[in-house]
Amino acid sequence: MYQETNMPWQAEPKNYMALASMILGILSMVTACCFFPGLILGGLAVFFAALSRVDAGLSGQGRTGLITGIIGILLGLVSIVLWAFIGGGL
Amino acid sequence: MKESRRSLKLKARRALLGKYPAAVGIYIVTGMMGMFLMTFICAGIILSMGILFPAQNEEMELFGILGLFFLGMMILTWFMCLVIPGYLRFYLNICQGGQARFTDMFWGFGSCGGKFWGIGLMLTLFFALLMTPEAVLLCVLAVTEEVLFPTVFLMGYNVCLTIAGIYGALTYGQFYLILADNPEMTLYQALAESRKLMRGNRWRHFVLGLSFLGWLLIAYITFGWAMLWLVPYMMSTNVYFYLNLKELCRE
Repeated sequence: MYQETNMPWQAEPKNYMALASMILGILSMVTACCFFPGLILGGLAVFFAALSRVDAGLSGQGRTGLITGIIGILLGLVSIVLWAFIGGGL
Repeated sequence: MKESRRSLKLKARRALLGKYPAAVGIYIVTGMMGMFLMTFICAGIILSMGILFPAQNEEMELFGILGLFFLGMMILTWFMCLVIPGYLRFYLNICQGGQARFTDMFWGFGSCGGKFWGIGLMLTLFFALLMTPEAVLLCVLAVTEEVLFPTVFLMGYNVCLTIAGIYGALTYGQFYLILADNPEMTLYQALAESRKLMRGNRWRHFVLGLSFLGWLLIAYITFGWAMLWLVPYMMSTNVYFYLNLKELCRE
């Protein structure tokens, strides 16, 4: 496409935050059973998903990261409660 | 035109794309330097106790700890006053489409013929002056039986200080950004400029700050790890807010 402005052409920086969010979201779901990693990674996934939004909406990867991150946080919380019950019962 | 919070935040997220490694790195290095200095100060206090106060006088020892802690906090404040201009310069460069250089961080130490050393010292002495009544009252609390009056006074003083601090931050909070943007300005010119820019925009700035509460909550879920990315985001948003204020002033 012909560019009408006199601005020098600059490559748009790649948005790696959405990809990072997706990876962390999936990892948070996997590690949710062992206490805090689920919370930390899930929180980071949600965070990165929100930071990846630089256009009108979230990209596919960003949306996946957001959903898996939220699931990871919830699973992490459930695992903490379960471990607390098991620990209390012993 | 006054830009909405949404627009400022979107701009900040766009500007930071591809620059997160530098922004996070600069945050880690600054934090570590602060922590190192704090550890050094605390270790200095502990080690010097035996040398400075060999007599087993508990009150003297307590005054000594308080005094040294006060001195340590002043050194830390002075150091932070020197780091902040470089830190802001880094974000100004990012938000104005310039190069994000890691070395910007040390800009405050060497630029303008050591002007920021003087400004840092002035601000440190100002904060020390504000904290002096607290330090004196803590000493009074340590030696007297009277607890109620000093405690009530301390609480009241802290509430007043917080309210005045919020008002001061909303009115004069842009002065460091102004200095980083216009290094030729004097401190008083920057303070006056900040006051001028913030007129009619204090509430907007306050709400912008509050809008990060949700982000802070998520950051706490991650045990603070997300702060590494949240701080650059907040800083960039604030810089865009300042740039918008400048634009409004020009109009």
